[in-house]
Amino acid sequence: MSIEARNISRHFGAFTALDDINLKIGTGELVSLLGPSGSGKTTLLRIIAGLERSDTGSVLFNGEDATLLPVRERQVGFVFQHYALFRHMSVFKNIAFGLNVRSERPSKAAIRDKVRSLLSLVQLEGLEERYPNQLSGGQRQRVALARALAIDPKVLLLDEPFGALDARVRHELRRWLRQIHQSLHITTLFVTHDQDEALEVADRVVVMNQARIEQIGSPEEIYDHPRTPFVHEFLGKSNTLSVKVDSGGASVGAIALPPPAAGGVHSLTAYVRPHQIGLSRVPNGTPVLPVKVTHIHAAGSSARVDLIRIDNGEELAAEISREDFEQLALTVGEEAFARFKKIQVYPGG
Amino acid sequence: MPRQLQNPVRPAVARGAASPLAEPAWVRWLLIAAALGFLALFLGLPLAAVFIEAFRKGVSTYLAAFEDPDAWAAIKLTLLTAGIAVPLNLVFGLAAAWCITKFDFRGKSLLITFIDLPFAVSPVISGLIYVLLFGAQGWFGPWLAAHDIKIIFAVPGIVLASIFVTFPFVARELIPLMQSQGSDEEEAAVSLGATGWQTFWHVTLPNVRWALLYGVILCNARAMGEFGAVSVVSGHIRGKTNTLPLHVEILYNEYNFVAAFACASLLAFLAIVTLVLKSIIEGRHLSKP
Repeated sequence: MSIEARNISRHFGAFTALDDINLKIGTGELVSLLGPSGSGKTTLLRIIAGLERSDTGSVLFNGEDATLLPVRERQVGFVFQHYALFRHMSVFKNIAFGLNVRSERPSKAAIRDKVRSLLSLVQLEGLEERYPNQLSGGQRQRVALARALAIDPKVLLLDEPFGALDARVRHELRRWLRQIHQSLHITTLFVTHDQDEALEVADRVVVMNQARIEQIGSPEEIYDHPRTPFVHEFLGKSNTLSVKVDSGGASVGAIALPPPAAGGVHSLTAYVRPHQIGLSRVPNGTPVLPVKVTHIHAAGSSARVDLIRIDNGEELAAEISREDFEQLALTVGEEAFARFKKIQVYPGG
Repeated sequence: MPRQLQNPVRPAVARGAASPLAEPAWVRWLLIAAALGFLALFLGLPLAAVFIEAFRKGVSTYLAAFEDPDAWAAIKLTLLTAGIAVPLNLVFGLAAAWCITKFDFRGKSLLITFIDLPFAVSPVISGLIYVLLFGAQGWFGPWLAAHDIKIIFAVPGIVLASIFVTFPFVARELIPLMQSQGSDEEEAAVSLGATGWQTFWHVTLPNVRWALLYGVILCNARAMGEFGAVSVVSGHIRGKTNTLPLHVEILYNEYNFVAAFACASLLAFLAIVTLVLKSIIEGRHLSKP
């Protein structure tokens, strides 16, 4: 089932949680809503679920207006950050809940079969009689997912599903969520503030900031072509460099930048990812930026070299391969020359 | 390595002397003795006195106190009052706690304040309110008299005053628990297709059942033991509008000490049963949320 949000706005007193949001999610897509806390992503998810109302705008399922449809008729599977398992019910009863409350309740045998198959899907066979407080966080969240899937939802909505888990379990569950999505093909929307999670799991990422959508795109698009400084900084590491703008054009040190698209822009800021910085000991012809090494972290798959610009003292971090690093044999305090394999320029600064 | 982790620092603390927080032994014993002495003097001794005085002239005299028809009437009225006040306050308290913790609305803090009102005012005032409203000279007095309805100096007044005084117990017990539990489980239930009623029966109520029972027990104890508010509205008509606490007072004022203490022992026994139930439930309450 496809989901569409049209002109959704939501205010809490003077605080704007969502400001005219428009979003379309196709049938069977796995989309993540990524943003810092307070960016409105959870509110948007809850409005789509029907757990929260919007001030303006509408929610459409398969092109049909569902704005006024009560939660229980929306057939959405909702997974909460803190699991929200029914604490006084066994795992079996938790998963069977959605089937037991139906007006046309399936037969006991049918419910048992359904619960069994869901338990094997979430790899928790044999834990039917446990209570939520006897399970680990990762197990609880898998029960919560099985419970949401029991009602054969048209849409699966997950609110920071792995936010309360430790790093190792989180990694495991991410991969597992992808697998489940691949086998069931339910339209899935999940909220996260963790960029790695969004980039690793989702087909498409919706980056949100301050009640607005900053950019929508595939993980590669978002990472390689961030449309705004916010997206650049939020996804992965990035260095900020001040840009000199004058009649001769824009430049960072001696490196000339493509002229700004719109005329009359007086200040620009450049963004460079650490792995897009190349270092050399000699200028070798091309325009370079003279820098000084302040710190070296060489333990890991690549070497991180902290630098400062000699012309204005701005700090930047470069990530180069271990081979390059060993060839250069840089030490702290030495001067070097930085080249940018790719640099992104945004107005303002 | 794991074996080492399984032996945390606890045993050192248990040994006592090694703990940096433990006071010397004599200080601890002194404090414990002071606390126990205080308890014995102010709680244990009076409780013992009630039973000793009640049985002073033997078991037969003790039992005779309950053969008095006025005593029976008082016991029946007390049970009737509690039997009406407790169920009503169970429903009111649950409804109040539900709407306070699960919904946001204007005037919520005002409602919370109002729930506490019966705790804040003197019970005598609680009784007086009803006299001012429904008494012969009260606001509705003439209308009630014209329709031959008696509230003050009659059973309805006693029930009303008891309901008022015991109103906060259930709600007060439920509100903090329901606040800490939040609405996640209810939201999960409705997203799974449950109706409001199903959500209440299958999710909300089971989650608060021990706190609810705890509140009901306290409410019941107070409903049976209330003196001040009931005293104002009852009119002390023997055999008709005397509850057990009022009956005890009358007997005592008539120098009928054995009967007074016999009835008092019944109330004291009720209190002990309440406390035992309460501690059993509290244990459950903590171990099984």
